[in-house]
Formats: sequence, C-alpha cells, structure tokens
Amino acid sequence: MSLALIAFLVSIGAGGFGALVGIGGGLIIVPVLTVLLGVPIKTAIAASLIGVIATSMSASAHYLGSGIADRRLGLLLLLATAAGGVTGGLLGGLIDGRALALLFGTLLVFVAVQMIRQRAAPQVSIPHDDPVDGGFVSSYIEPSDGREVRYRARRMEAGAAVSFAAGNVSGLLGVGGGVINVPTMNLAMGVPIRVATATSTFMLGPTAAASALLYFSAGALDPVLAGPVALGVFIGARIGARVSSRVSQSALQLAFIAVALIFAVQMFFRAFTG
Amino acid sequence: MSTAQRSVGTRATSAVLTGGSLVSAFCFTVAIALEILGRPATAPSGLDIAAVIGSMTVPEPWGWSTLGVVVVMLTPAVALIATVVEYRGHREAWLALGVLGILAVSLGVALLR
Repeated sequence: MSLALIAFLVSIGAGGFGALVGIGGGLIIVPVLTVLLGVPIKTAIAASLIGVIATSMSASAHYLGSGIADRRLGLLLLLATAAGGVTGGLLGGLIDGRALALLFGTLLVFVAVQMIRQRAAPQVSIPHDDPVDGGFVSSYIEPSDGREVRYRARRMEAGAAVSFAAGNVSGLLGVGGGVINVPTMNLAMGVPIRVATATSTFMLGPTAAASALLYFSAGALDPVLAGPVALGVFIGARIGARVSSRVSQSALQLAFIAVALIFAVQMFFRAFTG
Repeated sequence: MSTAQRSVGTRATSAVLTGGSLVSAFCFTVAIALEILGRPATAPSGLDIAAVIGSMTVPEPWGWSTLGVVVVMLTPAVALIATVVEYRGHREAWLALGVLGILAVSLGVALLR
C-alpha cells in the first residue's frame, strides 16, 4: 500500500479523534505522519494545513449560514491571525526541522496540560452582560431552544494580540490555532463558547491558506500526500462530529492526554537525536 | 446588523465555501481512486499548469491532487471576495479587504521565491 493511501486511512482516524476531543486534526496528524510514517516534518505540517483549510471551509459554510459564526468578530481577529499565519509560514521555512519537532512537542505538552487543568477546575468567564469595556454587541440564535442570545465581544486589542500568536503557531506547526483562539474568545473576550468555536473555525481557513501558500512555494507541500490527508481529516471530522454525543468526553480527553504526551516524547526524541 | 440580516447576507460566501469543499473533495477522491488502481504517483516539482492538466488527463494522482490543493488554497480568498460583495457599504467589507490584502502579501512572497 502506498504512503498516500496509508496517510488517507490514518488521517480519517486522526480527524475523527480530533473532532471527538474538540482540538482539530492537525495536532494529531502532524506527529502521526512524522513519527509513525517517517514523513519530513515540514511536509507533514504543509499537508496538515491543507486539511485545516478543507475542514474549515466545510464547517464555516454551515456556521455562517446558521449565523452562529460572528463574521464581524471573525474578520477583525482574522486580520491578526492571517498576519500571524504569514509570519508563521515564513518562519516555518527558515527553522530547522529538529527545532520544529521541539516546538511541536512543547505545544503537545501545553495542550495536554491545558486539558488536565480544564478537567480539574471549572472555567470562569466574563459575564456576557457585563457593561464594562467597549467592544460591540452581537447575537446568535441558540440551536437547542431557538432563542436569540445577545453578547458583547470585548477586549479586542488583547484578542487581536493573542490571535496573532495563534496565527503564528498555526503557520509554524500546521495546527488550526483553535486551541488558543477558542479559550481566548470565550474566557477573555466574553464570547459564548458556541460562537467562539464557530468563529474560530471560520478564521482557520484564510489563516492556514496564508501559510500554505508559503509552504507550497518553498516546495514543502506534496499534493500527493496533502490531498489524501485533507480528505481523510475531513471525512474523519464529519464522523467524529456525528458520534461525539455517544462517547464519553472524559475518557476521550484522558486518551488524548496520553497520546499527546507519548507523541511529545517522540517529538523531543526526534529533536535531540535527529 | 441583526442575526437574521447576517444570515441572509452570507449566502454567496457559504455557497463559495461549499462549492470549494465539493470540488476539492472530488479531486482528492479521484486521486485516491487512481492510487488504489495503481497509477504512478510521480510528481514534477513546482506548479506547472500544463503538467497538471497533462497529469489529470493521463490520468495520474498528482494532477488531481494538485488541482484539489490549489482549489483548497484559493477558496478562502474567493469566499472573502464574496464577503466584500455581500457586505459592500458595511464595515465587514473593509475588514475582508484587509484580510485579502494579507493573503495577497503571502501570495506575493510565494511568487517571489
């Protein structure tokens, strides 16, 4: 069986697992391609970016149509994430593959620790009707009960700064950036979690596109690998979204933490041994 | 802009995103089917349009995968153009133009390499 077919099958699993845990496929597909299939890390990152765009495109069409994604907020923050995506893509071309493996391992540890902290303590967010600070008022229709939910997005400068960092991480490491954007929008900017998730998904496509162009021009993007990876992650994410309500979220999070830490060790090993 | 107005004003953007998803998924599916059939997956370096069309007509996985990848990379930009048209006269149009400008910078850097 060719590498492309193996990557396709593995990507279905990675996309499904990512959707079930709620972190997207990139965090899993890059280490899988690199550690298990021996793909050079920059090629794996580029392939993952194509998967991120494809998944974002499909989900955004739904989120925009239903009005759940906050387009004005998304476009505002997209200015920062897309700029970050360009710098991340440029840095990705300059940085040595071993350093990228080290950074990716660090990101995996960071996300695993964040997940452990989320399990240990309930999140505290800004009340959505808190009148302090500027920002702008928006609303969405809650799908579960059909009522209109109003909220105020605030702390735009801080949100933009974090979004720029998220764009850098996305472009540099081939992950969506949602692991940074969603908690920032929800906890710091006061955006409801449903809107934050949808808006972040909307932002991922153009951000990853800005980086993918640079990987493509640098010769790191192999379409024969990226195509099956994108389709696999896309199919896996659809399956994961459908079955997510039927599986234990807690058990999945524990599984992800274990997998992330194992891959992090493998990435650190690769970084220090070449 | 109310939620209802916002939903109505997203049809073209949603259609572009859905269309891009379907076209790219079709290209990738054809490429994988050709892989399964054992068609050679050798690939020329870089993006040569004549080579892509030639590879697609042979047919080979590389040409179809490359077309799919190009569609995936271009669709967000086309969706932003649709947003500019849909929201002309509103702040969102200017924001979308700004993002398009950043994508243009990325494309410019990519072409200059």
